[in-house]
Amino acid sequence: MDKKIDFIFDQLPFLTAIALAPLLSGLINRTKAFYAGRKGQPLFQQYYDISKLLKKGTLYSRTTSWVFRVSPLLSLSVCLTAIMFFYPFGGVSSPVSFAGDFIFVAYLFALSRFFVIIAAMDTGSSFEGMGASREAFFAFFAEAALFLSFIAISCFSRVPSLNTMFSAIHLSVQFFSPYMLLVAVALFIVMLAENCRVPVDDPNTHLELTMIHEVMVLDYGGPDFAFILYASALKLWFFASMIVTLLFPVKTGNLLIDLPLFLSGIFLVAFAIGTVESIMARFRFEKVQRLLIFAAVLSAMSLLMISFGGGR
Amino acid sequence: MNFFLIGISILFAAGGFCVLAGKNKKLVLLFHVLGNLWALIFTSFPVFDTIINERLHTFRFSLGIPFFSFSILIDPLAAFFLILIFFISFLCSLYAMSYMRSAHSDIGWFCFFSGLLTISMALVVASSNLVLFLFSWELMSLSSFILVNFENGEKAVRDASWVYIAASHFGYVFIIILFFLMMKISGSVEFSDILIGKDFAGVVVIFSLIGFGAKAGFVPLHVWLPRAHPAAPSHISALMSGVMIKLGIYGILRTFSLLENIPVWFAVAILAIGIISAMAGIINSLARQDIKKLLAYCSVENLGIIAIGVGLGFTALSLGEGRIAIFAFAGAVLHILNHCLSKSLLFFSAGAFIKSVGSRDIDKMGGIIKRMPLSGLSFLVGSASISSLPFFNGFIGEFLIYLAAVFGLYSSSMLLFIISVLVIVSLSLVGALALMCFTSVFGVVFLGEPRSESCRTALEAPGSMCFVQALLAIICVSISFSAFLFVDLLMPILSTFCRSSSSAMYNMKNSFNEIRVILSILSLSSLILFVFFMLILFLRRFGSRKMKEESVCTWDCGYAKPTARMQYTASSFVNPMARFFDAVLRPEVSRPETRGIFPNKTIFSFEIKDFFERYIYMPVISRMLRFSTALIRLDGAGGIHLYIFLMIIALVALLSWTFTYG
Amino acid sequence: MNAELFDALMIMMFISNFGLLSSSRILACVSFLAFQGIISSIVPLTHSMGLAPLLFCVVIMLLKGFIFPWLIRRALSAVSAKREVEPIVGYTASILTGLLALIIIFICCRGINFNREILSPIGVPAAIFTIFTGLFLIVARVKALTQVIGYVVFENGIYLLGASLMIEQGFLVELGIILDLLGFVLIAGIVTFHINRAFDHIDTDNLLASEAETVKTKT
Repeated sequence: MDKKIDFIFDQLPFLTAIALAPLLSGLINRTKAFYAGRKGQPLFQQYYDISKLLKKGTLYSRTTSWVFRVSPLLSLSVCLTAIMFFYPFGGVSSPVSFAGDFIFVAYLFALSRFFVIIAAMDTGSSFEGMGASREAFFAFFAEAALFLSFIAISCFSRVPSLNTMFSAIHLSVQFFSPYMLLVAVALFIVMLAENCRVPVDDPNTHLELTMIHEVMVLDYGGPDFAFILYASALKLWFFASMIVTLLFPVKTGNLLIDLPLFLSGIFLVAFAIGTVESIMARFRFEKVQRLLIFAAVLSAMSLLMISFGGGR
Repeated sequence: MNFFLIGISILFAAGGFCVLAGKNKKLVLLFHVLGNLWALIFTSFPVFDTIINERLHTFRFSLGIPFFSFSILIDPLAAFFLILIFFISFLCSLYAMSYMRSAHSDIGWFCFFSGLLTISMALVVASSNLVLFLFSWELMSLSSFILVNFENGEKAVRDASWVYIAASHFGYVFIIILFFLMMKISGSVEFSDILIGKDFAGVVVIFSLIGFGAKAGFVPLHVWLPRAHPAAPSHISALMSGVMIKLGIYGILRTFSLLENIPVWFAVAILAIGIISAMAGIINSLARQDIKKLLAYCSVENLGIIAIGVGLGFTALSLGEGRIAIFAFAGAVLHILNHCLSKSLLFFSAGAFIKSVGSRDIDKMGGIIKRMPLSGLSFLVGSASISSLPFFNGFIGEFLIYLAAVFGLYSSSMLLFIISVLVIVSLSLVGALALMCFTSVFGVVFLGEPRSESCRTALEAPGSMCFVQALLAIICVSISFSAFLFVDLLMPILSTFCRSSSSAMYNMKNSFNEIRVILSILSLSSLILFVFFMLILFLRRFGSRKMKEESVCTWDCGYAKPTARMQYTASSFVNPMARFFDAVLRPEVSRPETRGIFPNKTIFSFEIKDFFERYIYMPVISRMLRFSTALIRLDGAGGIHLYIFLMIIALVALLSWTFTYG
Repeated sequence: MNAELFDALMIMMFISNFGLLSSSRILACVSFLAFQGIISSIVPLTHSMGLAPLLFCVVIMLLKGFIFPWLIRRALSAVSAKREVEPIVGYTASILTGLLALIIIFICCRGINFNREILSPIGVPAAIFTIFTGLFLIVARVKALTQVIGYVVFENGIYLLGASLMIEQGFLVELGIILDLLGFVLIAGIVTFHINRAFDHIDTDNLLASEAETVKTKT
């Protein structure tokens, strides 16, 4: 009985992610509403959306093939697998982990991106082709920034595995590391890019002039769209939990303290995203390119300072 | 050992039968397939024996000619390449059974020279005598030249084959000089007797990089690849891209195995060439409309990745980091295997849909996946594999190279740290570019609406072509799950060229255990992904049993008449990236103005020529041509005077040299 | 604690330098300059506390953080020039050149033996990078105002070099340099105003051409 409880507690990060991921979008929307002086959507709106969509029928375009039908399922399975690699509470190790698994996780997201892009091309619509082209273009810079952030953290912790390299950063090692703050900012920018947030992409607009991610899923409806919404929520949770572990390196090993701290960190990150979305407008595409290069440069700076500067 | 010779002889004999069968296409192709099949079966005996039991196979037959003896040595490195050669040749011959059925006559000679190409490649890899190596290398170049030049009715094909043979011979000159040097240094013509010390290591490395690099397609010696591949028939492109250019890497590895130790800076040079080739290759493949040119540049990119692995390995070796070296070499060798399989798969699928649609231009295709489902699925597997996505085999080789670089990050050597960062960053950039390239190709060719009439009526490829594609696709996916099982077989392969330091040898067993464990968890993760996918698929199907599923047209924002031409084409898809790399690609745009209310018809053209071809080769070649024409014109009246004059000068020079130094 | 504060300040210097390299509006450049001025004035406080350093810090902060930017903004509004920076080297290329320079600077500084106790090994690279940014702005940007900004950044870098090497009693020298700088900015502001009045723009490249034209029209 004891072992069973232990096992459940060990999977708690996974269960929290699955249960609470759609809450993030509600928090972000409420923050934006707060800044706009509105009351805003209910906090659990995305839950209602997903359950409503799951009950609907589906409408497929005649142009599409099996690729279009497979892509949302693949996105969701990729996000679920990715979460298994990163368990952010102290003292809990992820069920799957091996040296270099951060490369595997980054490429898993690339696999999901590959299928989302070709599913968008599958519809034969020029809108979706446009979004697909932009997504592939920005992926170039976002991947560079993501990889540089990962190797900066890996250099700092001297461990090549995703879970252990984040858990090696905790309060007993040093009080506050400015280098990890830089990497956290870079990861924040990458998170904005990958998860369809202002200033890279506006999740509310449906004008082809401004869309990247929204336009690629324009033709989806019903349960497929529910899967896509849920998968993007999980991806946002994944990135947010990475940033929280970098910025709040408190890992006491006691779940009762770690879990509320972690959740409050995630909610703070959601609040930060909502704030950024409210105070900024979407950048021009050239500026987005510069922003992502800037994120890569931040991580590169952090890497330089860690390796040449003594790495405190 | 005799099995190997029997295999080669059967292949040669089959080639002879093909020539005799002449007009009867079916019989010719049947002989071709049977010859390749029996060659594969016979050579697999010594090959697997060498790899699994680690026994060397030798054969020696003296021909009475000085320096030249027919001596064969199959060691694990050679065995690895032999598997690739014979397996892909067999698949090519199966593919040719349907593909060449509608070709014009001369198939008999074509199959003969195909067989000869396979035989010469096998001899290159297995030969232990320097002169035999040179002889087989030239035979390989000549037979591939004839194969590339098969459809020589078109001028483009003839031009391309001339460029190819010129480039081959350019590299060949360097290889001849290299081997001459090796013979002079060590006094022997057998590979097993040669050992080159520190003094000559630099010269040997430079010559081997240029000579073998020309065959492998390293930038800037790659210009023949994007010309030769579109010109050749698709399965010859597959054979060349999948196997023949890897022989350049084989030559480099074999040469390096003869060196006592490799100076650090030359290993770094290989790495730099690898990074430049990878980046230049994939950037150039972005903006292509000809599918085969695109795949050719993609080969340049992947050879660059292999060179990155090899360079990283040798750098780590010379700095004493055995573990990193072994990871990097294992990654490079696995990438050779994976690229061979996936590039052949891509060329086979490309050949299938080129034949069905009748054009190589991807911007005229679309929606083919509904007409050619199997080719589409195979091309998808090939693209995902080449873009190094997990769950497919292409990821594994590149992952090990990444991992070697990650371990290099922790090293105390600043050089290795900087190199590791460069490797990781460039591999990630190359991966993102490959993703863009192959999503655009697959999306434009197979998905969406057909952009031309011939796509609407395209038919699925005939039987044997489908079978070959399906087989390769299954192998690609299964390698990603089973890699950890056979990764230990790489150990003898690595020990043939990895003998620089003894500490590396000691680490090898531990490192391979580590590699095996990591790859097994990797396969487990892919399995988890697959399980999640199946679960969600089942839930989706089960949950929506009772729900409606309707079919409409794509949401078109209210446009009354959307046409297929409104879709994104490949060039528009990659346009942002092509503009970002404007300085490298330098497109030639001709955009004539349209004036007035009813302007005349004008043509807009956007062409990208290869950067090295335009700025280095063309100026040099045209200058040389001008010089030589001027030289001819110098002659004046008669024909002989200039030549006699030159002969007199040469004679005087030789005499004075002999008198001063003799 | 001191070392960490110093590190944090150096990181902010790096970020402001990259901001200068990549921003396309002159006003944004001026804001980054003000930010840099405030940061570099705080730096000497990390290793020596006292009345003199505190006073000095306040003076420098006022000058570099508020007065210089105000002067430059005044010149900008008087000139009514286009608000874009007009680069010779494009923005992305500038950022990447900056990164490359940063890598080379870090590699070179690693081998230097300073023979004195320094607070943190990233101080000297940060200073040299600031100098590089200043020079880059002077060389790779077209407008005269950005050249003024570049000169101030250059001076920031030199000051930072002294601060990070903890050269004591550098105050007098620094005051002298600041006075020079003040004079330069004032004069540059006046000159820019007059250039604009004569030629209607402040493009240094075109000055030569327009001068030739006016000479031609005169004769």
